[in-house]
Amino acid sequence: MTLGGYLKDKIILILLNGIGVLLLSLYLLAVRNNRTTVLLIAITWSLVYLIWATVDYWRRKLYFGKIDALMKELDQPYLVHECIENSWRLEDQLYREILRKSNKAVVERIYQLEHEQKEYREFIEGWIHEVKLPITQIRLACHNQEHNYSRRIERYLTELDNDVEQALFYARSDEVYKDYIIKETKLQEVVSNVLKKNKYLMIQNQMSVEVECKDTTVFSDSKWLEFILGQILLNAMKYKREGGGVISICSITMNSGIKLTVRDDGIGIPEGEKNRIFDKGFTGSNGRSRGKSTGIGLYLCRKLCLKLGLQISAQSRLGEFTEITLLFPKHSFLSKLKDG
Amino acid sequence: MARILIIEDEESIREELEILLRNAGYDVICTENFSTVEWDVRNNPDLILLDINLQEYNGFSICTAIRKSSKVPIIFITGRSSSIDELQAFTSGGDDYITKPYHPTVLLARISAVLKRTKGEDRGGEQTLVHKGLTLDQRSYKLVYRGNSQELSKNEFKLLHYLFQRKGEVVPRLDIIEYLWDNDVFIDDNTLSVNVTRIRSKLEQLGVTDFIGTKRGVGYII
Repeated sequence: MTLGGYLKDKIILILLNGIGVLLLSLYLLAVRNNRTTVLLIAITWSLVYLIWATVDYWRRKLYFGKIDALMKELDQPYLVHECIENSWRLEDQLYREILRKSNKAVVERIYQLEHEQKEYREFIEGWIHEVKLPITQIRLACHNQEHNYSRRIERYLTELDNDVEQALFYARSDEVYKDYIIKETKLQEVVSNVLKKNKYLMIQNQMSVEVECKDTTVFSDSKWLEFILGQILLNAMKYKREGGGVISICSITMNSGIKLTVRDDGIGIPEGEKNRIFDKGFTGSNGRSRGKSTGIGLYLCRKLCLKLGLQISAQSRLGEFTEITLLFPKHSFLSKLKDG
Repeated sequence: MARILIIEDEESIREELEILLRNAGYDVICTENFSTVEWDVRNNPDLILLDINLQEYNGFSICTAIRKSSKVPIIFITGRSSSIDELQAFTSGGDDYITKPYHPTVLLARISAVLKRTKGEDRGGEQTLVHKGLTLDQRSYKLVYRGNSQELSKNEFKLLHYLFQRKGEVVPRLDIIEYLWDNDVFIDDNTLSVNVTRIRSKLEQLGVTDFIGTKRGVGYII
């Protein structure tokens, strides 16, 4: 609340008082009162009003200041009506009641939406687990049936599997904390698992991969890590140049932690788009020209990295390469444990 | 021959698994009555594949029940991929845990790893492979011919190892590449040709020519 705002609000009262003083003074002068007396009365009136207005202004300012502070402190600001202190003013009481009713409706709505969202998420997760069954069946059947077409089907199946996986991790991405096991994980193993999983897809896209991780280990959850790496590798494959592509994956141990870089020799990212590749729904000019881009993959990667305490960054030169780097910060507590 | 017991309620998957494992040279027993699993265990399987979500039964409790009387290795198979399940799989006595949709090759690799670990069984027992007088030494990654030897890189060794396993037949290029990917060598078609050329020049230095034949557009044969 500002002084200007307060004065504007009270303008009619001020005008009324002004006119009152003026009319009274004129009347008193007309009935031949002493000028000094009239001036004294006018000044007294104004003074009394001024003091009252100042006190009123301070009290209002204090009152709203407290509410403002409450709003900032509260983790859910829409619950503020529960905390506002009682006021003797009728207007305050009425507004408080209105606020209470309106917020109650909001809370109920939020609760209902949360409930619906939870149900929907559970349905999606359940559905994904259902759909994994036929995928397994087809995969086994393909493997058991030596046929030229099996390979193509396996490739399409890998694409389907990856899409399903993306949906599952998207549904779970808000509740990562419920579902991870942090343990010492070999990077070589994680990378190898991802590559084997996408074997048919990668081979048929004429990709080759050089892996240089030696025995580097990190403390992380292998399942989430595999998903993140999978998204990065699939991107590298999607945005390869004509013909094949070479991806090199290597790990570097530094003072601040362990760096895992995935570098491809693909079409690269235009300068102006680099900052936005991790944004949700961002497909960029590459995505539009190649189609099949949802703008979800890298967004999910960043989101999951945040939750797992990793840093993800990208470097690229158009027409030359793209390099995605994951940084596993060195955790002093865990390293101490490890060193004994 | 190792005997594997499949405990899986989905009939189609059970059948496909049976075919897969039989093709891979295992003896397979299936069970459809999950209340008598303990009886099946008395058949002495060398390994059990156990699904977690059986209609009326729970894989974990079956595992606990089996563990009371037997130490047979158990691999859990599940459609759910939550960390809680994974933990429970190990705490209830499982030896490994694999999620659907698994790759058949990965499943076979896990099975053979668990068997190796628990029985000390070594399915590829021989240390050296011999073909047409040429010896491939698995311990030292060396090619030996008439007392002379040549060292091989990891990639070259794995490639030759596969050809030795399928000697006498034309091995399609894609088969080779896929085998190499399964064995942590992630190369493409061009690199395969480069590797074969390198092996040929090493063979020539040993005095062996025409060891690896090329079937144009198909693959290689030794």
